[in-house]
Amino acid sequence: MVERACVQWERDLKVFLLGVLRDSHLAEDVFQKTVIQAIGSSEFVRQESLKGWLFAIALNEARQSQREKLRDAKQREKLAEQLAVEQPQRLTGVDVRWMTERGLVNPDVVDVLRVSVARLPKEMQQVIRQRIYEGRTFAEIAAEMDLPLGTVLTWMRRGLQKLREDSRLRDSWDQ
Amino acid sequence: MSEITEQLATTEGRDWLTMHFVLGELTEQQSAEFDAAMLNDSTLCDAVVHASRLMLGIALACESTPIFSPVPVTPPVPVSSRSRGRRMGIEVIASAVMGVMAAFVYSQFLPLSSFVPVTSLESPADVDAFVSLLPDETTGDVGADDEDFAFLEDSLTDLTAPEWLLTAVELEQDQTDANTPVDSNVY
Repeated sequence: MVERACVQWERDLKVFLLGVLRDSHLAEDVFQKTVIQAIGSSEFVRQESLKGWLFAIALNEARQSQREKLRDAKQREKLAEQLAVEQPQRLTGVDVRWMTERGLVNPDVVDVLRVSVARLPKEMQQVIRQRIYEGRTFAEIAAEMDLPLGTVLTWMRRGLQKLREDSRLRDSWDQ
Repeated sequence: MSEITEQLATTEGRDWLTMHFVLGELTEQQSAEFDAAMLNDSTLCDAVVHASRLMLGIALACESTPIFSPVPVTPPVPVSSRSRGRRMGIEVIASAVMGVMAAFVYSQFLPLSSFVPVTSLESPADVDAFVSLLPDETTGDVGADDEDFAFLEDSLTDLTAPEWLLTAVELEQDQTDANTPVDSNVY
């Protein structure tokens, strides 16, 4: 039952872990650990709560892996530099390829998104592109556009809301 | 109630908070609270999955889309149709004034006897005398008087109002508008 569930929700679990960790290599490792932990604890789970239980294990494993990573001497120095510079964590080209190769995102959805994003007002397009694709911080975007931070955040929020409300996008997600 | 709990109470707040989480925008404290919320609510995990897919989809879509030119921050000053119409009206008035002035100057060069009303002509001799005063258009010769008229005709064909006149009329109009209430129904 647990093994079947891991196969059934493999994509969702990997996407979830990428959202939590923002690192495709770490997400892959943690997924493996999640499966191992789930199979080892399968006698304690009920069928009706199986999905939530699996995701809880994934989340706990993700946080555990992050703590282990912090304790590593080499990673600690690198993370200290990252924290000092306050670089936002963004999806890298490696992460994008990782998810594309594993079929974690439907190409049809990407096509629809391309059209939907292009239909947004230009200012919303600019903010969304710079934040998600280029990995800039909201503060950097606001400084470049010479606008208050609140305005930039509002445009981001409204742009994403418009994308969620796009009926064609909703239909393609459901397929 | 914490900020995280408040935002999770509405669908829009939940979506926005989830995107913040996926983008790594939450503080350590907020992230810990969000983790605790996810452990208690599996639908929040689904929301994280959806937000991650959306973020990745947008990244892939942007990758294959050419960059548009940045949006200008300062929008151009709008010119209302009312001010444009008023400007045109002022130009028409100014041109008409120039025309009247030119006609007045033109009239100064004609002898008074040329303006004898037709009704005052009592006899055919008077008519002949009147006709003789009319310029002979068939000869085509330009006499001394014709030279003056030609000069004036050239001036009359160039009836564009000078800028100083337009400005003066506009200032006058502004002053009049300031003293009278604006009626939005008037064009």
